[in-house]
Amino acid sequence: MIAFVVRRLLRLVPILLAVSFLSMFIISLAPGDYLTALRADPQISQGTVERMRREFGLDRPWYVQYVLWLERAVLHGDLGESFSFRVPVSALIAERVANTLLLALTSSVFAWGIALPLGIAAGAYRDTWIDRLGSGIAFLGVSVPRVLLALLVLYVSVGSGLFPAGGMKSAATYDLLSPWGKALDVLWHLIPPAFVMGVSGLAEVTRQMRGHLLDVLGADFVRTARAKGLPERTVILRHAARNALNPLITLFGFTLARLLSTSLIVEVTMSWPGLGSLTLEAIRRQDLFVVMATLVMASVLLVIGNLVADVLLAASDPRIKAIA
Amino acid sequence: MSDATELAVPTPGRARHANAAVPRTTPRALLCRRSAALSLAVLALLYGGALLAGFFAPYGMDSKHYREPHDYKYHPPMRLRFVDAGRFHARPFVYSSRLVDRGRALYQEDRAVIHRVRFFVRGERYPLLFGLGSWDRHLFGVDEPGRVFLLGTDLFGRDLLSRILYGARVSLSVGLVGIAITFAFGLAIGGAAGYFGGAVDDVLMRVAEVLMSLPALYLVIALAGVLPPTLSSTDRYLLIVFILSFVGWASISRVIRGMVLSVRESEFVLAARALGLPTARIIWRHVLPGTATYVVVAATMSVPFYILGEVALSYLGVGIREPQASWGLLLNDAQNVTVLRSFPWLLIPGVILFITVMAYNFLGDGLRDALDPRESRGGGL
Amino acid sequence: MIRIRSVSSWLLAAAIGAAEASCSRRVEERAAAIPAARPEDALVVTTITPARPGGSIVVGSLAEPKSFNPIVGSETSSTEVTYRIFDNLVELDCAESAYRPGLAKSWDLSPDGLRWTFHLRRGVAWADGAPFMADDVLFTFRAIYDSATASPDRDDLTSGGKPFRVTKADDHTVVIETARTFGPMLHVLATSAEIVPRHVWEASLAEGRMAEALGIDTPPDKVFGTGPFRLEKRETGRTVLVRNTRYWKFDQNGTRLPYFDRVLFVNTGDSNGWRLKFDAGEVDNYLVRPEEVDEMRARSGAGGYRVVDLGPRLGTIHFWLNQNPGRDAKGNPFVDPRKSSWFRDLRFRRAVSGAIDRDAIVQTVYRGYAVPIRGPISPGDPRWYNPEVPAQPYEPDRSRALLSEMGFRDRNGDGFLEDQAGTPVAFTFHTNAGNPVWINIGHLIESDLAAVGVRATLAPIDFNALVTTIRETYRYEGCLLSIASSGDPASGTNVWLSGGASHEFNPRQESPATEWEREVDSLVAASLSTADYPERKRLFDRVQVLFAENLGFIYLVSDEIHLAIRDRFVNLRPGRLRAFHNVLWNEDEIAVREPR
Repeated sequence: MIAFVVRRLLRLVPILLAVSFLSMFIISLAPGDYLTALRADPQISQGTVERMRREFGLDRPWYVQYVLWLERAVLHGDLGESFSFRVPVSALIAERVANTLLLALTSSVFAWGIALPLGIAAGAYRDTWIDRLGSGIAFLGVSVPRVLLALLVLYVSVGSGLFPAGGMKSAATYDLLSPWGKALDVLWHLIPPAFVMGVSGLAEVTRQMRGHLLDVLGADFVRTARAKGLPERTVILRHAARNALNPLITLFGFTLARLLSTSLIVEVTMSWPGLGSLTLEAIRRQDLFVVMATLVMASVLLVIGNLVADVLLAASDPRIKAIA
Repeated sequence: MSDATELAVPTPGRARHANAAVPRTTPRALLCRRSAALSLAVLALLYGGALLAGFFAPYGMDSKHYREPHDYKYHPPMRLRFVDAGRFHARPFVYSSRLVDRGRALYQEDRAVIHRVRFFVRGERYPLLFGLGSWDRHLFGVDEPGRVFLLGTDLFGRDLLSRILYGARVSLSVGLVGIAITFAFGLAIGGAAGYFGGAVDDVLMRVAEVLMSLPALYLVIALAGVLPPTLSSTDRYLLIVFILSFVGWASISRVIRGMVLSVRESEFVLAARALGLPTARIIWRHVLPGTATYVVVAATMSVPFYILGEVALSYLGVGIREPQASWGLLLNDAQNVTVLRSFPWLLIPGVILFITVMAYNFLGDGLRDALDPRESRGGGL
Repeated sequence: MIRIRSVSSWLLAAAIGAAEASCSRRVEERAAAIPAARPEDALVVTTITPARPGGSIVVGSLAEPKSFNPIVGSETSSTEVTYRIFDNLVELDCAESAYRPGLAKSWDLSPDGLRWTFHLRRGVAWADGAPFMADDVLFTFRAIYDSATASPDRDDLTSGGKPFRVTKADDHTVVIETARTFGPMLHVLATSAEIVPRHVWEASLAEGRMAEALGIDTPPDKVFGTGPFRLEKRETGRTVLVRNTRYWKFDQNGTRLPYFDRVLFVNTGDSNGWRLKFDAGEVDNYLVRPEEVDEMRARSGAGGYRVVDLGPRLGTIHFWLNQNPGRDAKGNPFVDPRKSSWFRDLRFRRAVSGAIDRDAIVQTVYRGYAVPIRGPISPGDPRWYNPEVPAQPYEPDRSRALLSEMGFRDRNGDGFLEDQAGTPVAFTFHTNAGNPVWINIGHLIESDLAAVGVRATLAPIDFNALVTTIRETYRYEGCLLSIASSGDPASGTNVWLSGGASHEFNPRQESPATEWEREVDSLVAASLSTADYPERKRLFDRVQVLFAENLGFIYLVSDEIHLAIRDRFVNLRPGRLRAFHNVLWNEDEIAVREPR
C-alpha cells in the first residue's frame, strides 16, 4: 500500500512539469502580455512601459521565462509576484484558497447529502414514479445553465430578502459580530453559491448511486440476505447501499479535484472571494505568475484528489488491495 | 479516473458486458420507455427547426427593427388571436402595436388595425444549408406594415423566435460535432493504448493524464483567448468546438483503454490473432464494438456538456460572436436584472436550452437502461 | 418591495449581543489615545451644511483594489481607495470644476512662468502624528521620478521632456521649476501627485522597492496619509477605511471632518451583482446602466434612493479609418494601397461620418441617455468644450453623393458599391470584444454604412490583441474605441500631436502629413507653453474645430452618467470630473442625515 502511494506521488512530478510547461506555452500564444493593456492609456509613455517590461522580465522569450520560473519555484519556493497586485503570488492564493475550499466542501456536502438518498430511493423503487421523479430532480440540476441559475438565485434572494446578494460577509456589520455571529454570517452567505454549485453535481451522483445500487442488488449476498427473511429496508440500507458506495468514492475524489473549474462561474457571478475570480482576471490580463501558480495548484489538487480516492477505495476493498 | 478504478469492483454485470461483441437491443426497448421516446420527439422537433430555420423563421437572423416608423425595440410577445370584437376569424391574426413610452419600452395593442397571419409567404431571402442556393418563402408572416413577433424582440427590435431558430443551428450542432471529435480521438487513442500496451500505452496515458490534470474551464478560456481575431464566424465556431472537445477526450480514452484491456485477452480476439487477421481489423471489427454500449450512452450524456459549455463561453465573452446567433449569446442579452424584471421574454432561450438538455439526459438514461443487459436480469424489487 | 436587510437584521441582532458593547469601547479607546490638535492652517469648509459625525457608507466597486500605492496604482479600483487616504498639494473641486488649495494653502508663479512656489499648510500632521513638511513633498517627487519604480505619473509631471526640479525653500515652502512654461501644472498636481509620508517609506525607496510598498499585504497601520481616512482592514472582497482623527479640515461649527466613521468598499463582481446588492440595501451607491435608468427612477421613492443625472461623461466614443501609409518589416503596406487612398480622401470620411445615424445609436444602445458629439471634447467638459465646433449631421443622401463623386457605383447589382476597377468598397473594423455596448454600436454602424452601399464588417477582438494591433502591428482598416479624458487636454498630447503614439489614425509621424495636422501641432505646442487658461482655451478651441472638420477621428456619442445614491446622505455635491467618484468625491464632507 505504501509503495502504491509513493509510486503515485512520484508520478506527480513529471505531470506537474508537463502541466506548467504547457500552461506557459499556452499563455505565451496569446498576443501581447500584461503590459499591453497599459499601452492603451495615452498618459503612459512608451518608455515607462519598456522599463516595466524589463522589470517584470517580460522581454524574454517564453521558454526562458519558464526556466526562470521553474528555478525560482523549485529552489526558492518563490512563485513570483503578481503584476497587478505587486505582491507575492503565494500571499494572494493563500488568502483565497480557504474560501474556495469552504465553498467547494459545503456544496459537496449539500449535493451528496441529497443525491445519495435520492439515488438509493430511485434504485430501490426502480421504474416507479419515485425513480422518475428522482431522475427528474437530478437532471433539473444539470440542465439549467449555471450562469442563469446564479442570476436567478441572486434575484430571488434579493426579492425575498431571505439571503444576501452575493459576497462572503456582511460588509458593514461583520466586524461588529461575536465569533459565533461571524460564523453564522459566513454560513448564511454561503447558502446561495453552495446551492448553485451543488445542484449541478446532483445528477451524476444520483445516477451513479442508482446504478451501483442496482448492480449490487443482483449480487449473491443480497439474495442470501433476502432469503434469510430480513426486511427489505435493512437489506437495501444496511447491506446493499453500503457496498454500492465504494465506487462512488472515486467520484468524490474526482469531483473535489475539479472544484477550481466548477467554482469559477459561481464565484464570479456571485462575488464569492475565492480563487476562481482571481484566476479569471489573471488569465484575462495575462498576469503570468498568478496563472501559472493556479494552474499548477489545480493540477496538484486533481492528482491528489484522485490519489486519495484510490487509497480510500483500496483500503475498503480487499480485492483492489491485492491488485495494488 | 485512476488506475485502480479501471480494475474496479468487477460486478457481474460488467464482466458479462465486456464479453458481448455487439449490444443486444431493439429500438422498441428504447421506445418503450416513455421519457426517452418523448425526448427523442422533442429533439427531432428542435433539430428539424434548426435545419429549416430560414423557412420557419418569419424574419432573418439579424433583421433589425429600430428605425421609425418601425420602432419595435424590446417588444413583448404578440398574441395570436382568433376573435376580434366578437367576430371569430378562421385565420389567426395579430393586432397592430403602438409605442406608448419610449424610455420604458411600453407598447399598446391598437385594436383598430388587424394583421392577418398568412402562410407560405414571401419574405426576406435566406440562404439554404449546404450551399443549395436561397429561397424566400417563409412558413408564416404578415403583410407590411405589420409585424408578427411571437416571442418578442430584443434591443435592436430583432425577432426572438427567428434568432432562436437560427441559434439552434449553432447550439444543437456544437454537441454533435463535439462528441464526434471527442469520441473519435478517445476511441482511437484509448483503443491503441489498450491494444498495444507497453510503451505505447504508457506514453499515451501519460499524455492523457497531463491533459486531465489541467483544469478544463481555465484551459478553454486561455485557448479561446488565443484565437486569431480575424477568423470568420464559421472558423471561430469550429475552433471553439475543437477546444471544448480537446478537454474531454482524455478521460474517455482511459475508459476505452480499460475496456479494451479486458477484451484483449478474451478468446475470440486470441482466435482472430491466431488466424492472422490484420491488427487494425481486429481492433475495429472485434474489439471496439464491445465498447459501443458505453460510447453510445456516454456520447448522448456528453452532448449537454458542449451545449452548456458554449453558454459559459458566451458569458465569459470568448465564444460565438454577433451577429451569429447561438442560445448562449441570446441568454447573455438576458443576463441583466432590468431585463429579468422588464423584458422577461428574453429568457425564453434559457427555457429552450433547458428542455434540450433535459431531453438529452432522459434520452441517454433511456439508452443506458435499454442497452444494459441488467435490464433482462430482472433485478430490483 | 425593498426590505432593507429585514431578515438579516433579525438574524444578526441575535448574534450581535455583547459585541455592541465591545465595539463602542474600541472607538472610545482610539479617540482617547490620540489628542489631535487643530492645525495652524486648518481649512474651514463653508460650502456645506454642518452635520454630526457618525455613520458609515458602503461603496460598491467592480474589482479588487490592486494596491494602496498612489504612485504606482493606476486602476480605478485602487485609486478610488488611495484618493481617500492621501492628499495632493492642489485639490480639484469636481462640482465647481476649479482648482483650490489642498496641502498647499497658496502658490505663486514667477513672471517667466518657470518657477512655481507652493506654501504648505502649517500644523498638518500625518495620521500617525508626525508633522507634514516639505521633505515629504520632495520625497514623493523623488519616488515618482525613480526609474526603479516606473510610475505612470512620471510622464504627466514632465515639461519639455524633463522632470521638474523640486526643491524646498524652507520646511513649509516647496519650489517647482520647469524647463518650459507648463500650463497644466495645477491639474497634474491635483490628479497625479499624491503626497506620501517620507518617514515611513524612505527606506523602501532607498532599497528600490517603492513599487511594492503600500501593497495589499502591507500592515494596515502603515497605510495612511494626510487624507480624511486611513486603512483599517483589507480582505478579499472588502476594504475598510476608518476616520483619520488628525484630518486638517473642519466645518463651520468647529467639528473636525470627516463625518463618516467608516468608508467600506465592497467588490460586487459584476454590474448585476452590484445592482442586486444595491437593491438589497447592502451597498449605498450604484452606477446605473442606460437600460436601467427609467426603471430605477420609477422605483427610487420606494427604494429610498435618488438617481442623479450627471450629464455626458468626459470621454468620447469614436471611430477611425487607418490612414497610416507605412510599411511593415517585410515591406508590405499596413493597409491595402487602394483602400488607403480612399481612407485618406476627406470625401470618403465625410461620407462615412454622414451615413452614421448617431441619434439611432443614442436611442437604441443608450435608450436615449447619451448625446451625439461633434469633436474630441464632450459637452460634459465645462472647462474645455467648444460649442462652436460644427455639427456632424446625419445625411445619408449627401454620403451617397460623395461616394458617387469618388467614382463608386454598384456595378454588379448586389447593393454594394465598387470602384472603377471593380474592387468592392468594403473594410473591416475592430472593437473590444469584451464590451457589448461597443459591439452593439458597431452593428448599427454596419447597418448604416450598408444603407449607403459600403460594406463595413465588424470584427470584435480581445482587448489586448486590439491594443497590440493599433499600437504595434498597425495592420487593420478601421477601429471603434473610446477615449477617456482626464479633464485637461494637456494629458492627451499623445493624441493631438501628429507625432504622438496615440494619434491612432496615423501615429508617430516624423513630420505632419497634412496641413491641418501641422496647424494642430503648433497650436498644441503654444498651448502647453502658457499657463494662462483663457489663452489655452482659445488655442484648444481651434484644435477641436480642426479635428472635427478633418475627421481624423469620426466622433460618435458620449454617454450620460447616472448614479443612484441612498437618500440618507447630505452634503452631496455631484460633479462629473472623477470617474466613479462622481457623487462621492467629497466624501470628507458627506454625512448621514439627521433623523427628524
